[in-house]
Amino acid sequence: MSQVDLVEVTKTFPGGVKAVDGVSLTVRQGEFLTLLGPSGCGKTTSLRMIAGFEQPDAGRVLIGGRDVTRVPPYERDTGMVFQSLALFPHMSVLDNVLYGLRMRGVSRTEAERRAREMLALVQLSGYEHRRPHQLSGGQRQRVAFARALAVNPSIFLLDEPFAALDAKIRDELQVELRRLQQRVGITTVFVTHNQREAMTLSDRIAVMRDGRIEQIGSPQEIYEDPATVFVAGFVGMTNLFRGHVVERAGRRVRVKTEEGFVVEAELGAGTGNGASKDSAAAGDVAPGKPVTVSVRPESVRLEPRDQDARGGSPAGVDPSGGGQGGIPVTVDLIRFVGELIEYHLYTPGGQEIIGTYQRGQRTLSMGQGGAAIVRFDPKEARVLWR
Amino acid sequence: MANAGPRPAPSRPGNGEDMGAGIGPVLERPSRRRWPDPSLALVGTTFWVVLAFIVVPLGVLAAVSVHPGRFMTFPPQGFSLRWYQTLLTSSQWLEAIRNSLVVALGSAVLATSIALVLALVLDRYPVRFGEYMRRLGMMPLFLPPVIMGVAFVAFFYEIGFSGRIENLIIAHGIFNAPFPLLLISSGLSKVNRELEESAMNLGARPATVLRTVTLPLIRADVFAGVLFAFLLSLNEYIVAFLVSGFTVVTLPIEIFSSLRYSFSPVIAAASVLFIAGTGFLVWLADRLAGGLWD
Amino acid sequence: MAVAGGGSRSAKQANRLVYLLLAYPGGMLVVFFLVPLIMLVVFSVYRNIPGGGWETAFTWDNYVRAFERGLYRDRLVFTLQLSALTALICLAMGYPFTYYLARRASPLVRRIGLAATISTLWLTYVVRSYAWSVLLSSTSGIGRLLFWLGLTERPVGYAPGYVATLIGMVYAFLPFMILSLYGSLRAVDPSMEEASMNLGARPWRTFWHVVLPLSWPGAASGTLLVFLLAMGNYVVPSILGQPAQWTMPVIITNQVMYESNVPFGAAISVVLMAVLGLVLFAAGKLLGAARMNPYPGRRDS
Ligand SMILES: Nc1ncnc2c1ncn2[C@@H]1O[C@H](COP(=O)(O)OP(=O)(O)O)[C@@H](O)[C@H]1O
Ligand SMILES: [Mg+2]
Repeated sequence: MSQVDLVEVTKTFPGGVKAVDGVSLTVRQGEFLTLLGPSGCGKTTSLRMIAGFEQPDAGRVLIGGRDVTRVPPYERDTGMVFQSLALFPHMSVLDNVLYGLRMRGVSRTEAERRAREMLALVQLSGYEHRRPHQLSGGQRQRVAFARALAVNPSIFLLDEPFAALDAKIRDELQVELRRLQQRVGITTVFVTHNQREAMTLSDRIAVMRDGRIEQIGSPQEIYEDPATVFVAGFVGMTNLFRGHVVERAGRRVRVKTEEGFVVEAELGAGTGNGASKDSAAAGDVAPGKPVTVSVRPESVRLEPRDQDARGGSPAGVDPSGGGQGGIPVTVDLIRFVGELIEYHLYTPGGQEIIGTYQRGQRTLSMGQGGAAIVRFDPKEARVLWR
Repeated sequence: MANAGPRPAPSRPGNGEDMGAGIGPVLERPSRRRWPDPSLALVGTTFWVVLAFIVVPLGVLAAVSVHPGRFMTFPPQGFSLRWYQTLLTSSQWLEAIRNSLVVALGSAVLATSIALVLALVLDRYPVRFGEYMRRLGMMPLFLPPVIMGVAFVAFFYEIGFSGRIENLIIAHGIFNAPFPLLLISSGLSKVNRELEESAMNLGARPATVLRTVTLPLIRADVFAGVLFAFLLSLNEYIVAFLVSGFTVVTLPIEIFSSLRYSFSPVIAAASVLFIAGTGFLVWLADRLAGGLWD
Repeated sequence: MAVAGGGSRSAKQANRLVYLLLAYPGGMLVVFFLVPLIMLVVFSVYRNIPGGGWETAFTWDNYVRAFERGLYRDRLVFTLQLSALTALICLAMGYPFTYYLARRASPLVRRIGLAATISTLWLTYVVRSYAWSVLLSSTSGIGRLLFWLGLTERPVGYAPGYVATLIGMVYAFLPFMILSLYGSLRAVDPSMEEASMNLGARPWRTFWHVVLPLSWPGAASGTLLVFLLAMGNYVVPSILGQPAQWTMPVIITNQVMYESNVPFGAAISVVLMAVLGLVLFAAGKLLGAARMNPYPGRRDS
C-alpha cells in the first residue's frame, strides 16, 4: 500500500499526439481514485505510465515516494487489470493466478495456497482447472482481479475493466470490486469513461480532458461543485445557460442569459478547484463578464404559467423581479424514467431544458404543450466561466 | 442518467483497444437452389470435368503402381505390391529417400529459425534495417527457382564448396524461408500485446515473457512453418538439381532421372508414396495453422 | 508501442541488443541470398573456358551471344507464348470451377474440391508431369485405352510434344489459379447476388454486374501468378516436351549442368529475370489502372 505521485508528467506519441500534458496527481494511500474522461483524453496512457509500459517525456512517477520513472514494468510491483483482461489463454485459471507468484520465486506449495485463497476470495473455488475461454465474462473478470491481487501489489490499476460487460453483471462486479478493494485496503487507480461508474465506485475522481486534469474531488464535490462547464456537462446531466454577469454581491451573481432572462446563481465553494485555472471561484467575476450558469435537472422547479399572458414576448416574466421571474417554457415531452419523471421543456428561443421530479414527489397537472415557468434556487445553480 | 447540454455523446474510442466492429459472417448459405438456367448447368458440368482433370492423373499413377505388369493393359491384369517391394529394397531409392528427408528436415529447421528470430525481433522492435531483412527474406517467393538455383551454383563454385548436402540444406532453407516467415508473423500479429504486458506486470522479465507467453501462443504457427518448409523442400526439384551437381540425389531427382531411362512402375510407386506423404503433411499443416484456406 | 527498456539499461544498449539478435537472420539472408544474387550477375560477365571452368573477366560476350543467336530469342518468345497460353487456359478452366466451388457447391463437395486442389498444389512437378507422361503414353495411357476400345489401329503416344507440354503446364498451375480466385469469389456477399435478383436481374446478368466485377482482382492476380510461375518452370517442359518445347529455364539448366557453361547460364538468367521484372512492372501499371475502373465492360457508367 503506497501513495502514487505523478509530477508534471507529459507524454507525446510519435506523430505528435500529446496524450498526457503536464499532469500532476497524488493518489493517497488506500484510496480508490478514478480517472474519468471521454475517450482519447489520456486516461490509459496515464495508467500505463504508472505501470511502466510507457515512459513519460517529461516529469516523474513516484510509487511509495520512490522515483520509478525509469524502472521497468516487471520491477514496479503494480497489479494491473487490462481492458482485454489479458488472461493467458494457454493456462488454466489456477496457473494464471500462480503466474505472478512464481515470477516472484514463491515456493510452489505456498504459491498454490495463496492462489486458491485468492480464487476463494473472488468466489471462484472449483474453477481452478478451467481455461479462461470456458468461463463467463463476469468470471473471467474475477480471475483477472485475483491474478492481479495475488502477488499483493502495492498499487492496483484497472483500465475500463467493465466496458465489455452487460449492465447487470457490471453492477454486481462493481460492488464486488469495491468490497475487494476495501478488504485489501489497496491504493487503486481506476480508469473509465463512464461517469456513473466513477461516481458509485470512487473515493475521488480526476476528470480528464485533452491530456489534462480538469478537476479532482470527491464524487459529491465534482457533482455539486463542478469547476468547469466541461465537468458539469460530463458528470451528470445539466442545463447550461450562457450569459453575462449583470451584478455580483459576494457569492451571489445575477446573470442575463443570451435570451434575455435574468437568473441568479452562486459561485462554487471552491472545494474541488485545486487543479483548475478555469475555475470561476476566483475573484474576477464582475459585471459584463461572459459566464455560463449550470443547473442540475433535479434543481429545476416548474410552475404553471398563465396561458393568456404568453403573448409574443416573454411578457409574463418580470425581468427585473430579482431573478425570480424565471424562464417561460413550453412542455415538449414527459418521460417516465424509473423512479423519475423527466420534463423536456423549450424556451421561446428554442433551448431545451430538462427537469426531473421524483415520482410521487409532486405532480404538476400539466401535459404536453402546456405552458410553465422554470425557476431554481440560486444556491443550487453554479456560475462557471464559459 | 444521461447528459443534456452541450456535451458530446460518449462515443467509444477508436485507438485500437476496443473491439472493432465485427465483420458479419460472409456467405454461409450454400445455395442449393437450381435455377432453370443453362449457363448454370454448364458451370456445374465444368466443375466436375475439371475436378476429374485434377484427380484422374494421380489415380492413374496409383493404378499403374499396383499393376503387376510393366505396362498398363486393358483390362488390368490384377493387383500386386511388387513395385513397392522393389522400391523399398533398392539401395538407390532408399538413399534418395534418406537424402530427401535429411535435406527437408535440415532446411525446414534452418528456414524456420531464420523466420522465427526475424519475426520476433521485428514484432517488438520494428527497426528499419530489420524491415529490409524481412523484405529480403520474402524475395525468394518472387524469384523463379531456376534463377535462384543458378545463383547458388555461382556462389558455391566461387567459394569452392560445391556438391555437398549442406549446400542443399542452405539453399532450401533460404528458398523456403518466406513461408514460415509469413505464418509466424501472422501468428504474432494475432497475439494480443496486452498478454505480454500483463506477464511483465506480474513480474516476468522479457526473456521469461517470451518463454512462458509469446512462444506458447505461436507454437502452432511455428510448427506449421516447419511443416511447410519441410513439405516444400521435399517436393522441390530444380534448385536441388542445380545445387547438388549430380552428387546428392533426392527423391524428386531420382524420379526424374529414372524417367530418362525407363518407365518402370517403381517410379509410380515412389510417386504414390510421395502423394500420400504430401497429402498428410498438407493436412497436418492446415490443421495446425487453423485452416489456411477456408 | 515501445515497452520501456530495462531500468539500468539505456536505450542505446537495447538497440545494440536488437542488432545482435538480427545478426543471425540478417547474416544468413545477406550471405546466402543477397551475395549469391550478386554472384549471379558477376558470373554473367565472366569468360567461359570451353571444356570446363571459367576465368574471371569483364566481358559482354555472354550477353552478345544471348541476343545474337536467333535460338535464344526464339526460346524466349516461345516461353512467353507458352506461359501466356497456360495462364489463359488456367483462367478459362479455373473460373467456372472456382465459381461453382466457392458459391454453389455443398459443404462436402467444397471440402473435396479444396482438398484435391490444395494437396496437388504442393506436389512436386516431377510427379505431376510424370503422371501425364504415363497418361499420354502409348504403352499405358489413353492411347492404350483407345486402342483397346478399337478406336485406333494401334496404341498412339501423345507425349512428349507441344500438346503434352501445354496440358502439363495447365495441370501444374491450375491449383494456383483456383486458390487465387477462391478468396475473391468467396468474399462476395451472397446477399448482394440475392439483392440483384430481387431487383429482377436474371442470374446471368447478376453474375455479370455483381460477381464478375468483384472477383476481377483475384482473376487478374491469379493470371499473373500462373504466367510468372510458368515462365520459371523447368520440370514440365523437360519431361513432357521435345527440344522444340524447351523453355528458357530448360536452356539455362542445360547450359549450367550439361554444357558446364555457368557464365552463359548466368547471363541468360539475368536476361530472364529482367524480362520477368518488366512483365511485373507492366502488369502492376495495368492492374493499377484497372483498379480505378472496377467495372470492365460497362459503358453506361
Ligand atoms: N501507442 C500510441 N501511439 C500513438 N498515439 C497513441 C498511442 N496510444 C494512445 N495514443 C493517442 O493518445 C491519446 C490518448 O490515448 P489514451 O490514453 O488511450 O486515451 P483514453 O484511454 O483516455 O481513451 C489518443 O489520442 C490516442 O490516439
Ligand atoms: Mg483507454
